[in-house]
Amino acid sequence: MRPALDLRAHLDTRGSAILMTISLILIVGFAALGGLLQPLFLADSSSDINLTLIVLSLPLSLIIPVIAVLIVAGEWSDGSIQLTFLQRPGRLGVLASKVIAAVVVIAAIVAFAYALAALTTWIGGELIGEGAIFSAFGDALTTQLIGLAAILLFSLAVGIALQSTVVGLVAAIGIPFVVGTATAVAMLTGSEVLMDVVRAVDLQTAATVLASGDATAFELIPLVLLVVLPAVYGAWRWNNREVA
Amino acid sequence: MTSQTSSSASSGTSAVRGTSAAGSTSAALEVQGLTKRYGDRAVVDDLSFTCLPGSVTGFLGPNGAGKSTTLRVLTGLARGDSGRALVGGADYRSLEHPARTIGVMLDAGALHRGRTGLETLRLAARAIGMPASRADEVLETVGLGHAGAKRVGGYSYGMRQRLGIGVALIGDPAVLVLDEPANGLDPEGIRWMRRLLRSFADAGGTVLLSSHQLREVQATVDRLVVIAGGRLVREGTLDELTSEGGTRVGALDPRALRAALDTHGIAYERRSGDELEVSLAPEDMGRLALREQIVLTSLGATDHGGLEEVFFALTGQADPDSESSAPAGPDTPTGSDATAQLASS
Repeated sequence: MRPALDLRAHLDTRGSAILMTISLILIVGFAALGGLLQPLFLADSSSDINLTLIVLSLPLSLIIPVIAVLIVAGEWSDGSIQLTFLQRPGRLGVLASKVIAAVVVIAAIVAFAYALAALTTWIGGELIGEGAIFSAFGDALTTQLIGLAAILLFSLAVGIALQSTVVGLVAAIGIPFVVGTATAVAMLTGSEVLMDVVRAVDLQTAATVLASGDATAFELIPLVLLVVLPAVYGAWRWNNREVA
Repeated sequence: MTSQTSSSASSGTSAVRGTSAAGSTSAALEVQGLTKRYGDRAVVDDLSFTCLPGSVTGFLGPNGAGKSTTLRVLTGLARGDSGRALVGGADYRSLEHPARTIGVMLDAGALHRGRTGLETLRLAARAIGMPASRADEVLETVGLGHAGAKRVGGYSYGMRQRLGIGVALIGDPAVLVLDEPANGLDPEGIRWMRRLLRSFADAGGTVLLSSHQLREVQATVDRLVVIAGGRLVREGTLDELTSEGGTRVGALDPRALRAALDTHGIAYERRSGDELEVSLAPEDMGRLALREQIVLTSLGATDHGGLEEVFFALTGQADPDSESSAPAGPDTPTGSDATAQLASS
């Protein structure tokens, strides 16, 4: 495994430079929006880290799939996987290496985003408003991070399974959106069967329940369907797919 | 090749450099009974050939002959259904640092367009455990010293070909496998590549070169492997293939002549008039006519125009420049079969 090599291979391209710049702008913008502007809208003129993290989760839920899919599937789409396999024929090692590289990049981005959230909340609360609220930081971390981890796992799984940037991105961003919509529809209909079916593919809700410690075996179903199975199939395909 | 590789390559290196402990020459590349099927269609069918150190081998065949598939199996990018494709006696995927044993350039389009030329080489060097300075060295070798900071997306096709060859050379390998390396190169580039491959082979390296540019192949290679329909048609030195010709023969009774050739399983093609081109030496054709009591009106060695003629003859393809020639039928024995017949007659 050579995660440092894959990290460099991902970061040294023009496309990656553009993506990272856009990601940075989005994170800074949303952190500012969440932390600095809260006192202007909240009744007590405070700035709450929990709210800032919720605002930041919007860009992160887009940035994470894009980066994860690009790192694991990008070389298949642009054809450069051929050179990678010619130099490193141990394919599963390359796959593991890319997954580690993706996790490292995203962990760094999330850490940066959370640090920025704390900073803008403090500035917004202490310097602009009437005080910063960090009392719920621990709970917010758990809740938000587990949700982001679910997005990362799902994105990696579809990237590995589909081995295509475009299709992978559509699946990684589109499926959670469809599931979210289906959940709302199921609740409107009030059908227990429909709600169970949707719950079986609702990774976000399952992750939240798992984090709270109240999970049953049912919460493992989305994890198996949306993460484990695609990842296992993708690993098999990764190892056996012919490179044109 | 430098001494650096000799000391650093994996255990398969002595084999690919071609000299065993006993001092005999062994194959650097070896394809044995390789078959690759897609559905019911055999793209590569029981193909066997070898490439020896110190030689540049041309790998020829018409479109769809199975050349690229063979090269992909040889380099671990695809798996054969049966048979073996070995690099220095080992499977490509089992080599610890394959790029330090065998340099491969199959598709210059596989180079990432958003990366600079120098970074492409530096990344390749790092991937295979070569020093970063090797990238600068190779960049100069392939004539891209002035374009190292430019992104590959801004390269011309010829520049990308050069960079692809550079990536193949980065590990200072003993074997080179190149697919259509002359594509997009200008005349100076083609001359450069020809010299590069020649000096590489003269230094003991092994080159397998797939190309459609027959004149370029003729000017570069010293051995040929010709395939058609996934099967080996002919393997030998360039001199052997271009000097051995068929025989043009005409008879008073062309039908009797064709029947005699069919009876003996000898390949032939129709040429101008009633003449046939047969895969027999003139003296053997004369003996056959005598035995079959056929009156010949003409008999003589074919004047082959070089590799191009040989290619069309061996692969059973119609020469677009020769309106009078007719392709061999599907049941007609290939050139190699005819040669075997000749040897036994």
